[in-house]
Amino acid sequence: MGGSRQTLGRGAAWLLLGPVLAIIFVGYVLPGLALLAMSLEVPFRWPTVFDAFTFRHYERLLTDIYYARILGYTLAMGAIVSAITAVAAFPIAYYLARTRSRLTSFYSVLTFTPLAVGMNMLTLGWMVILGRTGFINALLTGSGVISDPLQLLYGWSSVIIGMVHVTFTFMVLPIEAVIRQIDPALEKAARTLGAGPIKTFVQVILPLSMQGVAAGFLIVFLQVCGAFVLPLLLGGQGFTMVPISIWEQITVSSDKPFAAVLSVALIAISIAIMTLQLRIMRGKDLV
Amino acid sequence: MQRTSALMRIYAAAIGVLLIFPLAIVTAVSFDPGAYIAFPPSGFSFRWYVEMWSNETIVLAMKNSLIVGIASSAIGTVIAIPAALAIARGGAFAEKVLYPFLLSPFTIPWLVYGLALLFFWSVTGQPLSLGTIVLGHTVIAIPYVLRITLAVLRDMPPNYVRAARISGANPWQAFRYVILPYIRSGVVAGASFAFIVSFTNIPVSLFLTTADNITLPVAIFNYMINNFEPMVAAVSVVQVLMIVVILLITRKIGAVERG
Repeated sequence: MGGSRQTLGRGAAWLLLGPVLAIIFVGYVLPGLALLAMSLEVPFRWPTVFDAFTFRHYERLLTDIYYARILGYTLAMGAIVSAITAVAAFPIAYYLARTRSRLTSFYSVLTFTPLAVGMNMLTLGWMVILGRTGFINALLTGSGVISDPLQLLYGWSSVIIGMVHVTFTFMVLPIEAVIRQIDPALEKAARTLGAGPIKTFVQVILPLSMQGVAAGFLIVFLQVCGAFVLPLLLGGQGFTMVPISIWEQITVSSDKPFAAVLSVALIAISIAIMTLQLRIMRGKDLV
Repeated sequence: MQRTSALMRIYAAAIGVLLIFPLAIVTAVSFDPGAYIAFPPSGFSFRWYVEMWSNETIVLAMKNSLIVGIASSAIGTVIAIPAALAIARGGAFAEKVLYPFLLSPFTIPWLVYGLALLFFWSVTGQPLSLGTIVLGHTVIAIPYVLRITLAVLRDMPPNYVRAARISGANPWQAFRYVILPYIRSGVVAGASFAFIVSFTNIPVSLFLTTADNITLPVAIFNYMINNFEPMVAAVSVVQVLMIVVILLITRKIGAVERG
């Protein structure tokens, strides 16, 4: 392989990249700059730029304890959901990586459903399952276990349940990919040498699959921090995460600059996590 | 070992049921003839499946979402394939800087991206239209097509292209008759996923939609906030059915000319 890889001429490479770079520049880089300009309240009217700017919205973010708390809630939610999803998804990833049957290929289709049916479907589903007139309450009151319906919907627990569901696939995929690369002979060797199934799992499989767990953890963390529809609808009144707060700045208080500041903060978090992710992956494509 | 794998199978079955349970529940309540969503459903009828077609917003949103989904996944695919070719043969800059950057629209919080687009269009003074939504969805389609195409390209033995070139094929012919058949199923998979992402996307479109360019998931979202009637469930079920049909069609397209 080594020296046999053909490299393109510079001209040809830029020609091939041209269309993507043009779209990315207009549809991604410029909007990013517009967001930044809005956060600094630059009176951005083409072609006159940079008349004045202010940091006062950033100061508000840094001094108002309310927003520090929202930021903390968001990160905490990311950590909790990532941890639960990792534990829940690991056995499934192992099962998919180690068994081959018609059932497993059906099962891998099943694990893709959360990505394919849309957030509105999943959110609606959990609203009907957890709601006051929903599935669980109907089951419990119908069987006489309780007389008054429980308040299951709204708040942390329902958002956590929903987020674990929608991010499940993102956790399964990288862990499954890593377990596939572990030689099954290693497990057999451990078993032959007298290790029980639990010891084999803890001392052989788990350490070798940590890279996949880390990759899944970071992707899920990112997804949770940026999630909006599900936390808004399952969290209910008074439940806030950064994206919900951004939406409220636009729709309720019409404070565009501050919405932009919150957005910049969220992007800064995302970039930090992505950098960490690139470090851990070292060029490996796991998802 | 026997006992652990039996336990594993039980756990896998339980998770499998949980994964599709919300879908089953939504399908169940979509047949409720009542005026608001409740479980168990008050009866069985196709009332909302019929009434949704006389709801102008829903019909318009469906049409818009099909246009946006097809346009953005098509444009995203057409521009991502040459980019994948360039990155596959590019150097360290393409690998370490360009590729992660082109993938970043996948990880950036989409609500923030939608907001950035709103500010961008208000700076340019352009009125919001279907085109403004298509541009945003094209940007988030790129990572899906790029990633899978590049993975297939890296899998391809370099001798295939070399053999074609030695046999006298020009670069275009080598692409058309050697590379394209090889990457075809991967490209189709990436494109269909990009379509699904667009067809179900709420956060990128949310700030960009008006009465005229509203998309289906945003229309459903608005109903979920304001008006919790079984029609929302019926429309969601129809949305999933449309996705299934599209997936079946693209699977056919991706499967031919293989083996």
